[in-house]
Amino acid sequence: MKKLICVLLATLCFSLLYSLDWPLLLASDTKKDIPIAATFGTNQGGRPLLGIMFETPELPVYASDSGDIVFSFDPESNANVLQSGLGSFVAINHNKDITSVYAHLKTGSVASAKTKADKGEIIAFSGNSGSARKNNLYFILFDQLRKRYVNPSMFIAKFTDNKNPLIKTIYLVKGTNEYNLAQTRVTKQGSWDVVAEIEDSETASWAEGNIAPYKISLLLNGTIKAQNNFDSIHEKDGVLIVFPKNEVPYTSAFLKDGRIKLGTVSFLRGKSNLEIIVQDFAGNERSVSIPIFVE
Amino acid sequence: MGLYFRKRCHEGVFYMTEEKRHGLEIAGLVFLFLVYFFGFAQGLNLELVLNPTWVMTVSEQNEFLPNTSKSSPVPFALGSYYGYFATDGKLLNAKQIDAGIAISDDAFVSYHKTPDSLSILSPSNSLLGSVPTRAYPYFDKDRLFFIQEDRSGVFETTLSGQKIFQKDFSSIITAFNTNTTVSAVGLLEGKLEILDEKGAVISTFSPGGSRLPVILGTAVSPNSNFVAAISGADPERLLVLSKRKTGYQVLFHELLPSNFRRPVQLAFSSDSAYLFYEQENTICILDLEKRTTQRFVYSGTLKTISVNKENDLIFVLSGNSNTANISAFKAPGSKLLATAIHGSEFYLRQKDNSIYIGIDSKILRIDAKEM
Repeated sequence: MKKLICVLLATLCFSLLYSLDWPLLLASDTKKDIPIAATFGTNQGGRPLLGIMFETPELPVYASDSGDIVFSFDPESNANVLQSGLGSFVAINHNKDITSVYAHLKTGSVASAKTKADKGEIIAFSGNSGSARKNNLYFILFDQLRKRYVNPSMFIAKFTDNKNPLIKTIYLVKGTNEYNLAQTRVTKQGSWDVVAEIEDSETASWAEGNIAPYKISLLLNGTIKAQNNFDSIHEKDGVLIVFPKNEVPYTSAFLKDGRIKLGTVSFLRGKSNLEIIVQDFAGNERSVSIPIFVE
Repeated sequence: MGLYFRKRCHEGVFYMTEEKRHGLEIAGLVFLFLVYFFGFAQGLNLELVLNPTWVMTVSEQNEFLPNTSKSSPVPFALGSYYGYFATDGKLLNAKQIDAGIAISDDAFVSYHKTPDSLSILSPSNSLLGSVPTRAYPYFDKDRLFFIQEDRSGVFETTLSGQKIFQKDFSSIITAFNTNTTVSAVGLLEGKLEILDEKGAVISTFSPGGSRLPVILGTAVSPNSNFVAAISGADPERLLVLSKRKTGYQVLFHELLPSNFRRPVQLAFSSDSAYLFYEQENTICILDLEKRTTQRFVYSGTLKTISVNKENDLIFVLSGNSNTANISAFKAPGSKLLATAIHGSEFYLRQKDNSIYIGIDSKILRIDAKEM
């Protein structure tokens, strides 16, 4: 309960302190025209996405809020320096507490001499630099005070989304044993990892992997066994923690094939009921309830 | 001056002829010269003599020719080509760069925009290992690192692809440098992490004193005794940390007049006595013992700082889209060379006492000798 209050207070403070806006098209009625290719926490080949990826043609990229440009990187003018999949990117520090990062920008479109940006000012153009598969914009928010990446959807106006998330497949996994619950509902007693393929459906079709929803709850016989919220990602002991509530590292939660380990449940002999509830940011919900026969 | 001069001694005053006096004058001068020559003479400064040896044209050559020279092949990445050439001027191979190339004396890794598995190949194109990853490869001091797609972490492998360590960081990596055992990682949040060869944290340091925290550049000295960083904005700072029993602590710091918001280059001399760092159109040479700084102006955008391990010559390549300026410096503070060359693609590499300069499709070898 205390944690929940803290999160709510932090969110409230953020909302009051910052008036962040999406970096593409400031007019609110056109925001919905920009498809989201991947959301915060999306499992990309076994690692989490640290922000939101928009599928976009070459468009102006606007500063999300006014601030100081603290770092910009252009792969061409910095050819001898560290290259990465972010490609050309800009980082803007807002009020010392939050930093917004705009990546996969069009190479050469970043004015390297700029030191300040006003809210809504064009800072670059979206592009396909770095590991961008198509023209897009990768938008990251970093909380300087709490030293963590935060889900931009928590702080910026929500997108219109009327579709429920999808729960595509659910597996019970123990070591090399893996059961697809679409094929069998019978298992043996003991501890099993629950692994699922889940995606939020308000996505672009080309997106690789499954787009993360906001919240996934795992229940056994009506009791919550794990609640995984995609609200922030931080580093602990050299590993990124994707589900801060239970301090779950991505190495435990994210499989390289795009599936997510939701948690571990212990089955006793007899009949059990496994339930998964998935919510997206717009509040759309999907749940499945699966009776399991335990031998 | 009279015809005679008097010399006073305990016996009294006596007089000398003009010939004798002249002989004594010459003898005195010779004596003084000998005293100066053997006692106080200073050697003349050595001059750098650059001797062009050969020019080679780079064109696509997918075949891997054997290296018949005694020295190991030299890697290059120039314009749209990468490959190796022999020190005698023979092009061993040259392939088109895909999205990028990480290349060293011992291996190369070519990568696509969206890698999923990367092959580590020897200069003769034999497969040394493979790494399933979406990260971008990066060679530093012949160590092979992989920078995670979003700069949130790094891992190191052997040339056979075996993972040595993997580490994620609390924010985006903005600067990275290593020697054979120590790595310094600069982060967007303004933190500097110093790692040992197994990736364990030796020290973390968040330089204050600036309105905006960020690490713009970092360097590790060859002997691991020093780590330098340029950090922050308003104002920017130069920090030199020195190794102590409990980790690295601040040895020296200086406020800088620069206002960079981009990667900044730093490098140590091979004897770890000097730090070369970038300022606005200026290369600064910091003498770590005397804490004095020499400054040398260059024109254009800095592209590369190259320090020669053999003779500590520092070559600086700077310029704009169609001209490169090559300057050579010698610590503690002398500018030896400054020349401008027309071209759009450049490459600079030092090996032994030779400098290899690439301009568009040509690579030139120049041998440096101090005389």
